[in-house]
This record gives sequence, C-alpha cells and structure tokens, in this order.
Amino acid sequence: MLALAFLALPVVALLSKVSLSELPERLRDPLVLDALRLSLVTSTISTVLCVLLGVPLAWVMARKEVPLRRLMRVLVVLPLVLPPVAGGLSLLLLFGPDGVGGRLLESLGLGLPATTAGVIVAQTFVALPFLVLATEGAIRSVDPRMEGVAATLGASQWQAFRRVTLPLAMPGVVAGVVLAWARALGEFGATVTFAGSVPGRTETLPLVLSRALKESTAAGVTVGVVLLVLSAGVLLLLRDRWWSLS
Amino acid sequence: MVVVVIATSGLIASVVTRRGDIDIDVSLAVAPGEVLAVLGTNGSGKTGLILALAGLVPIESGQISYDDRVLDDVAQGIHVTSADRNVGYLPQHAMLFPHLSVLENVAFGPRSRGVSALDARRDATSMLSAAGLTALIDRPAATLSGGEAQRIALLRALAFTPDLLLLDEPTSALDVAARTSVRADLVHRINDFSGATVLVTHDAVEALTLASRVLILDGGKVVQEGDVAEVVRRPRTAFVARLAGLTVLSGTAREHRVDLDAGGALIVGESSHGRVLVTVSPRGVTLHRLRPEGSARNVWPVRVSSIEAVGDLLRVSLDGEPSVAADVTMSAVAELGARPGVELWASIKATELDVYPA
Repeated sequence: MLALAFLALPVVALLSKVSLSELPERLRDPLVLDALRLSLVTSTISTVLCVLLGVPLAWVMARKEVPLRRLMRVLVVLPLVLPPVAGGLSLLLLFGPDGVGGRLLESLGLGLPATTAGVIVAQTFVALPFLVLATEGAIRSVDPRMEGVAATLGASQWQAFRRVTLPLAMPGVVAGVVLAWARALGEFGATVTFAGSVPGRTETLPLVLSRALKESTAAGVTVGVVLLVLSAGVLLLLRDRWWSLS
Repeated sequence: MVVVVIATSGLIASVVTRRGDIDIDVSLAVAPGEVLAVLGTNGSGKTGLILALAGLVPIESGQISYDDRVLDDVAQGIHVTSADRNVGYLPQHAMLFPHLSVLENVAFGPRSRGVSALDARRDATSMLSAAGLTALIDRPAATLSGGEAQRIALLRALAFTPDLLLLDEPTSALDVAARTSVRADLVHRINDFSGATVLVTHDAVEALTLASRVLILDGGKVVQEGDVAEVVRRPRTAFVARLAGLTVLSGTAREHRVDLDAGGALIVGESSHGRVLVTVSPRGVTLHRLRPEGSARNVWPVRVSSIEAVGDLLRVSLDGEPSVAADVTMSAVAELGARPGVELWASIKATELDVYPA
C-alpha cells in the first residue's frame, strides 16, 4: 500500500495544480504545440526504427545459437542501465563533429547534433532495449515445435516467422512497441545532451517542460499534464495486453 | 543392426543421431503404401528417429532417401530441409496453429508451397467436408477438443499429398473416447494414402490397429522386427512383452510341462522339447480367494504386489512361482479383497498359454 501511495500521490499532486480555466489557453501556446507535434513525430519514427532494428535482433537472440550471445545481451541492456545523459554523451562522442561517425556523416553532407534526426537517434538509442527485450521474451514463449511443424508443411524460415511465430508473439511485441514509444516520448537526458535544445527542431515536450519550470511552476504544470495524458493513453492502449495479464 | 534392404522404392533410412542421452542407430525401409510401427517406451529414441526422418534434426551419419531422392547423406554433405522434403508430420499434441482457423490450418501446407490462397482454401474446404468436418471450418484452432485437433492436424499433414507420413504417438495424449475416433480416422486415411507411413508409438494396440510391420526400439537400437501380430503375440524379450501387455517366461519344455527358470512350472497345451518361451496374457489369468476346484490345469498361490488401472480393468501384479499379472474387473478386486500383500490363488488354462522356441 505504501508503495502504491508513493507511486500515485505525485500524479495526484500534479493534477491538483491544474487550473482548468487557464489550461486551454496555455495549450494554445505555439511553443507547447510545436513541442507536442515534434514529440509525437520523433517518438513515432523512433518506434518504427526500433521495430525494424529490434525485431530481427530479438528473433536471433531468442532462436539462434549464436556465439557471444551473452555479450549481445549485455549490449542490449546497456542503454537501459546507462544514465541517459551518459548515453547522449556517448552518442555525441561518436556522431559529434569530432567523432568518427560524425566525420563520416559530415562528408556525406549530414549532421546529427542539433537536428531533428539527432533527436530520433537519441530516442531510438534509449528505447530500443525495451522493444528487444519484450519481443525476445514473446518469441521465446512461442513453442519452437510450432515452427518445426510449419517447416514440415513447406514454410521457409521467413514464412514460419511471419505466419506463425510473429502472430503468436504479437501481444508481447505490441507491449514492447508501446513501452518503446513511451520511453521515446519521455526521453530527456540523451536528447538534451546529444541533440541540444533548439525550439521547433530538437526541443521535445520534456525539454519544454524543463525550460518552462525555470520560468514558472504553472507553465510547467501544463506541459506536465500533456505528458501525463499521453502516458495515460499508452496505458489504455496496453489495457488488454497488460492489465489482464497481471 | 544390419537390415537387408530389398525395397527399391519408398523410404530407406539408416539413421545415427543423438537425442538427450540416447544414441540412436536404426536402419529401416518402408515401401509405398506400407505402415511401419516403431514401438518403444519413453527414452527408446523413437522421437529422435521421427524428428530425423522429418529433417527437423540433423543426423550424425547415415542416409535417408525416398524413392530416388536423397534427403540426407552425411558422407556427401546432403541435407534437404524439412520445408523441401514433402513429409507429412503429425505430432503428438496436434500443434495446430492456435491463431488460425481450422480452414487456414489445413490450407497452410499448400499455401506455403506456392498454391494461391484462394485455391488452397477451396481445396481445404472440400477436404474438410469430405471428412465430415464442415462444422469446424471456421472455428479458431485453439477452441477444438483434443480429438478434433488431432483429426484436423492429420488433414493438415496430408493436404499437400506428401510422399512420407510420420505419425508421432498420434493418440497417446487423448482420452479413451477421442482415441477411438482418431484411430478410426487414422485407419481410414492411411488406407487411402499411397506413400510410406512411419508410426511411432508406445502403445501396442495402436501398432496392431494401424501397422502391418513393427520394429521394436530399445535404447536407440532395434531389438525385434517383423509382422505386428507375430511380434506382439510372441515377444522375444521381457521388454517387448511389457509393451504388448504380456508376461513372457523362459523355461525348459518336456512335452506339455515347462519348468520355468524363475521357479515353478506350467502345463501348456502344445507339446514341445527344449528351451522355450511362454507368454501369459493378463486376461487369461483368473484369481480366487480359495484354492479353486475346476478344469484349469495351472493353479498356484500368489501374493498381490501392486494394482493399477488399465483401460476399464485393473491390472493386478502378482508375486509367486511364476510371477504374472491378471486383468480383472473392479468388482472382482473388491470381492477378492485384493490389496498389496494379500494372498490369493491364480489359475490359467493350459490352452491360454502360448509356447514357442526361445
């Protein structure tokens, strides 16, 4: 009970500070609207990237006898335990103007820091582990003999994955997608360190929240509530997949 | 085990592989239209054998071929994947795809082999209605009973007309009623099937009803092979006898009397001389509280060692000279007061005993 109160009371405190009369006006603030749009676009693109990169990796980790499997797992979990600011710093050292990756990109006429693309890279970096771990667990829970039967029926490895394994693992994959998306949406540390805080380009909602708080609590509350509503939306999306499971 | 392979078509396999702690080394040949039962207990290596034939696990050495097509040849580095083998595989627990309908399950094989979704569904529909299973077509596979699921899984395995049909304990996970209907279905389908069939089972009755030839597997090796009725009726080892639900006793015969190696003697119907095996069917053994008067030639005192259910009957294991088992009804057990440790009299007619040279 104490733990539940500890989790719930801060949310109540946030909601109690909302002034319903001022909220609509504050929400029309172009700064908040721009940040909201930017956040939604970047976190969605990051989630798509997570799926494209993460699902094949999760399948390999769940099903293949690959060398250095333990090292793979460590690498996947690393962004999860690494403080996001340190993650952002690592990205900066690699893709920044002085980094190996950065110079390579620059020679191609691309640059990541201080761009929206940089925000997406930072979000993907922190969100990918959520997707990979959830998907790997979901694939593991599918009886591998199902894939064997599919193979005897003539299905290639890819057909067996697409028509049998993936549909059966789907609840777990969806949970991973939603978690990754929520993590990308709330990303602050890595973004601010790697992509910086450029309004309209890299200043996502959490960054606006941080800046707004320096001006006034009331301004911060507005942004905080927007984030809360989005997160609550995530929980609703997970309703059937998660609440019923627990 | 060396098998002289006469067949030039159908399945010819010599499989050396490992599964868990068991070293499997089996050679077999099955002609098109023939059903071979591989009978063995858990841990005999029969599942490893069937997985190797299906191409789901690689073999360590040997060859597998069907007609003129080599499926595995370790020496030549050939391994045809399961997907390219054209093998119908019915696993023990149906393993229907639970997220698909019955129709999509049956259509899965043809669709994976490039048949258009429309054609595959149409063929699957006619297959299901021909089998009298029209009512199940749109049902999600996850909602079927065990017997229904197994019948659908059999259709799924046959939908793409495989060369070879592999049945892995097809009825062992089912209750008695479902077992009967699935077995009837299997008999029917196998009769219509023109390819070779390998049935793996630990159930001698299943082997008897479905197969014409049997191969007994113990510890990954073939211990006996031949006509099913012959092997089941006249087991050569206690292991096979146990599988067939019989007690096999060794002894020395002099005309109608067999002196048993383990003590005691039996009077048998057939006259012979020398080393023999005598099989005792538990159904032929009768139990009595007091020494019976009557026509039975063999009467001896026994002590109940254990009682277990076998189908509708109870199998009472008995210590004595000889030690045998008796299948009796529940009410008989109650009437006799049979519990472990209780002393009774056993009897069996001479004509109920089968005697053959050891």
